[in-house]
Amino acid sequence: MKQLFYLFVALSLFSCRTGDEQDLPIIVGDAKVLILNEGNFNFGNASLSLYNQNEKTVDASVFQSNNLGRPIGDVVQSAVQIGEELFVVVNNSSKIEVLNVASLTSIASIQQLNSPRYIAVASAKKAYVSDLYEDKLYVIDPSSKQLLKTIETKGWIEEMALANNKLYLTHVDSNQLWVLDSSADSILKKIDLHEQPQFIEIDTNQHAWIACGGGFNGGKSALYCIQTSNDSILSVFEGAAVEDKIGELEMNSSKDELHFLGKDGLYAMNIKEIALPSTAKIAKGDRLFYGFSIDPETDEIYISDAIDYQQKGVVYRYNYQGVELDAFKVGIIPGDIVFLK
Amino acid sequence: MKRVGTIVFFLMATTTWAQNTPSDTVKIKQVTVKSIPIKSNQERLDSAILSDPQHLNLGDLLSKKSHLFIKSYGIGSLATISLRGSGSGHTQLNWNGISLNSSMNGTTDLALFPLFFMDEVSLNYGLSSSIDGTGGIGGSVNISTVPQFKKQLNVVVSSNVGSFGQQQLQAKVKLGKENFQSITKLIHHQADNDFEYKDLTLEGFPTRKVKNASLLQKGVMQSFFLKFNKNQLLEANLWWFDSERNLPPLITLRENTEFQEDISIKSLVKYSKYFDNSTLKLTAAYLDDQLNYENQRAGIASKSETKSLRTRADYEFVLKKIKLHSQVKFENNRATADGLSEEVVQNRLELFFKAEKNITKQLNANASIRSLQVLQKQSYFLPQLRFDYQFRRSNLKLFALAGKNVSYPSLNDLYYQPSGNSRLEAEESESVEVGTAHEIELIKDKLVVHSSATLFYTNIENYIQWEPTAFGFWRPSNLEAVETRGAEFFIAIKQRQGKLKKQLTATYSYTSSKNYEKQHEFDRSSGKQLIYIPEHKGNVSLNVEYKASAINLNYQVLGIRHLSSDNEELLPRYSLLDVGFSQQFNRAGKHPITLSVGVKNVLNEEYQAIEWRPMPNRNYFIKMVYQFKT
Repeated sequence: MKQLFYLFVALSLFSCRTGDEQDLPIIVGDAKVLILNEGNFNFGNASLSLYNQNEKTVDASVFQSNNLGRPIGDVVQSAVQIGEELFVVVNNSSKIEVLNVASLTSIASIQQLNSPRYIAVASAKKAYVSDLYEDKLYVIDPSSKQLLKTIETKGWIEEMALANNKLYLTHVDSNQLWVLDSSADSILKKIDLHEQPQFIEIDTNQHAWIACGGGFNGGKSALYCIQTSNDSILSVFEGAAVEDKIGELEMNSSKDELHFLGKDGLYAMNIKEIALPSTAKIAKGDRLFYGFSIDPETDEIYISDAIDYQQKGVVYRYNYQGVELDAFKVGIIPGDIVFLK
Repeated sequence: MKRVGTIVFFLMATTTWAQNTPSDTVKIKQVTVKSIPIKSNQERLDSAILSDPQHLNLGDLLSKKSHLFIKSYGIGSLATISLRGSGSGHTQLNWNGISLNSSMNGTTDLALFPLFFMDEVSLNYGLSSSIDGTGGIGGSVNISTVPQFKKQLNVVVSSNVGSFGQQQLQAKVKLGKENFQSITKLIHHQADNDFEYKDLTLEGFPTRKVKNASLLQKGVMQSFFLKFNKNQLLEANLWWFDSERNLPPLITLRENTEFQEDISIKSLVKYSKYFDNSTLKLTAAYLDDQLNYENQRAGIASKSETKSLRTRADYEFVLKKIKLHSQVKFENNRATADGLSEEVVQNRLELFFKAEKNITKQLNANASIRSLQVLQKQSYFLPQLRFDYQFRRSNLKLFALAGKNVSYPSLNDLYYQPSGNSRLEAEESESVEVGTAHEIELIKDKLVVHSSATLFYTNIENYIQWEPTAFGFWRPSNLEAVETRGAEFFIAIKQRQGKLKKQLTATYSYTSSKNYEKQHEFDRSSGKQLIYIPEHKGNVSLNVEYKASAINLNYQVLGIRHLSSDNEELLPRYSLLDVGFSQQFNRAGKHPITLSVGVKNVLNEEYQAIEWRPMPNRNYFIKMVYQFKT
């Protein structure tokens, strides 16, 4: 039975485990670039990374460090700052985590949502939350963190934008842009678009720009420009080929140049242009551009790279002309980047 | 250092003692088990192990008794195989020689395979799986029903009750005579699986209960065996299994109600004829697998169904002292699903030919070639060469083999809407294996030691991986060239002293499974272990029998598993100790009864096999088996 003893000793050595380590809280200070790392769907490995743009340092998992080791959840989709609070939408955890911007500690959590995606802020007392599965739009009070009511949408809503006291909703299931009176919360109009409208931005002329991905059945992508004063279509730009995808949209700080992710990288297009750009402003090469944001103060462009979706991703920082300034590691599947005010 | 030296010595010792494999390992109840001469890099688990009440299903058994790593999402939940560092679709599950892998996703869920339906489970590691077909880059698991031709009426009824509402009721009737046997098996299994766990996602880490994890499984299996004469055998099997499982959410998700029902009907007919110098075997199976999935939150109620006709003909004969084996396989697979725009049909044809010759008294060589033709698509040719050397005056054997295998993309990989990729290439592998096997009787009829050791290397080209895109959907692509290499060790020491029998068995496997492609300068995955593939896995079991009593200990250790391809995130290693005791009453009579009790996870280890999916702490079971035999 000596062999038994040695075997158990040998295997016990393999079974030694390290103790749980508790991270020290991160001081937010003048760092203002917060990266939302989606993590893998159903892996529960979403995280927030904090980048200090002055010192070029990064804290890869600031939420967990500043909230007693607790993970944020499954799929961080988007975030908006309202006053001194950051509302972080954790899609597959069915919640919105509300953080104190100065400390990035959780102060509240809005639960009982289904599969929330994006927030559009009408006022300090009213915000809309879109949802993937619920067939409804949530109306919440950001000050009290209460759910006020829901609005029937009969389908999947993605990004939203407010202009001229109206809320514009990208209705993916119907391939339409829905226009909602943001005072009465009633539907005013439904505008037919190309397949899979998902992203929307408002320019300096209060025109709404909508990107349609072309759907999942081989349709072409398209970019729409809508005049929000009368909700008419001003122009439609269709991708030349099925592969010419139009993904996430962002405006520069003066809101006169549109940027979007496409087949070969990041494209830029002045709002007065009459055709889609043919070459990328920032070519992706071997990189995998997954999401991006433009700093509203400096116009610096931050592009996230999910690499293989299974490791810590990278964010590249460029100046507005597209010259790379820095690159830093963040969490798994970095999606959106928000700039703390 | 002395302790480390002892361990190193032990590990070295296992490489020099060598053996076939555990042909008659742990026995809880009295079962006659003959030594089964099989080749190295194969393993056979007999009916005694299969009837051990510690194992709830095939996945549970294989995680403890083999080199396989079972990726389990919880007790009763999805359980997939990873063998030798390969993916879940790279291990074939064969039933009497016919693959049961889903044509839709290429994998099998071991939680849907009750051990009670099987009389024998064997494993073919690596290239040795190709005797039954392509696809088993990691290897294959083979399950079968085995008749005993004698006049008998044998009824077995068993009830197993355990923690978290576990209830298994099983009945088996064996009826027959010298040329005909009927075996009927019934199973009813239900469980709440509502165990407690420490919630690390909430402040203060409160204790919570797993929600929405109950299951209800029912099944019937009927087999007939008819021996026309000494040389001809006809068998017919019907397998019906209905599994209703609520799927527990990740602990990071508070409320999510998912439900899955799997209904499978499998039928198989096999005819064998033994000539003087040759053997003919014809097998045909029709498999119908239906999967209904509901996700209340997402408002999803989806259905999918696969229907497969899988046939096989084997002819083995001897010509001028060369043993020849020819085989033809044909598969017709059909799939319908909400994610497929129309019924998808795929036909596959495989041809196989093998020649085996004893070059000298000690040296045996065999060469084979297999072709896979996916009709109207591609063809693949897969050669293999093997040498076995038996030392004189000792039971030490050496073997070496090299060859190719292929895993063709599943129907989901190719055609799933919106993201199936019809331009996917098949995953092609090249492997080399060497090993030893040894058996030594240290004291005649009293002390026997079996041991084996294997080293393997496999290169998999066009590794298929599903990944999200920036445009809102997931898509499979051929991404990586993956290299797996490793070592497997096994030792069993069997001792008999009068009515006292002791058996100590240990397995250890080291698996390195790495991607060597680099996408760009920031890609840190190159040269790193693939996610959820443990480098180290070990198991020790001790079985002691005295007269009608038996005690069994099983200690399993699973090393760290990486959660990210840059290997920066990981799940800690864990170890599980299970203990069981059984007592037989009236075992010589017509109505023997066996009572078993056991404790699983005795050390109360808190662990996760998959991140944020808790596993049960210490839990208990009691099982009673009543047998009536003539």
